[in-house]
Amino acid sequence: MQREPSLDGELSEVLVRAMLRLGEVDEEWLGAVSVRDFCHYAAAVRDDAYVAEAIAAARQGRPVAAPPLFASGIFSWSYGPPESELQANGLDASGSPWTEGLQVRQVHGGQSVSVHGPLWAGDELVRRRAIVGAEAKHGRSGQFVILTMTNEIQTVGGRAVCSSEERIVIRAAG
Amino acid sequence: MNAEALRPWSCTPSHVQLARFSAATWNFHRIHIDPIAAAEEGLPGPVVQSTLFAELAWQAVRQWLSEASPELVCIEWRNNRPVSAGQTIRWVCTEVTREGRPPDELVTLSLAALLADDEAAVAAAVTVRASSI
Repeated sequence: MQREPSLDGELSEVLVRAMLRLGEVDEEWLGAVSVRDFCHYAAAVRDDAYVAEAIAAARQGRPVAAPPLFASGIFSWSYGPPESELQANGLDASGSPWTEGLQVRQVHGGQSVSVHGPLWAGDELVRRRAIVGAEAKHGRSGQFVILTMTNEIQTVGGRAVCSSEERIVIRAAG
Repeated sequence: MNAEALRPWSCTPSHVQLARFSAATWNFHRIHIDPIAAAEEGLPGPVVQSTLFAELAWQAVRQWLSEASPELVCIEWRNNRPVSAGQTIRWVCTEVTREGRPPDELVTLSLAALLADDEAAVAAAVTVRASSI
């Protein structure tokens, strides 16, 4: 049987950190979402018809639902961090404790999102995030670690909005 | 509805679009907004965000089903290759499948995002409620 090469030191540190956090659920209060938030997102994705309809509805006092991928598409819900706490690559160090201080690169491998119901302007949300998988791989392009994260977004009243599972691929830098 | 009947839908994310999407989603990973950071990774320009691909796949499906108001149930995608601002992406539908029975029947469209060389940068599957289309 061919022996797999041992895992790069930085990558094995990522794996150990992630495994120690397996199953830990991190709950974050996201605050209330607004028509303005929805419209910024829609304008960025060039959905100009949505922007016009949402503004018209809001002005007439009708409820406004978010674009269905709005909630799962928000990369970070935190109000920070201070610029001094960003990593050199622009990511929030505290948002990825498994790579903090390590010479690694991380990219998004893919995701699945289930939409459970509408998200209305004014809804106040919470998110539960957990690492549910951490695995070392040896592919054609070298070694990497795949982390699997789950996210559940619901209103503070407990109405489910969406859930997702994402794969994050981490490789040694250089 | 069959996959061959759905005409490819093309889009070209611009540098401005990526910057606005990063701002709207509060994503300041430099490879999405800074050409220098992208060049350091050997890429020709700022890289399209993963979550923007999901939105573009959903837009392709809405384009194909524009006679109706499709209700999104789930979406799944895999990123195979980075795409930079200015590159044209051609979304094609490769398969349409149905599961379940009315009123809970679901329709899934499988998509590929092709680049100029016809290689798929992203593979996606978008599931909508059959009663909404």
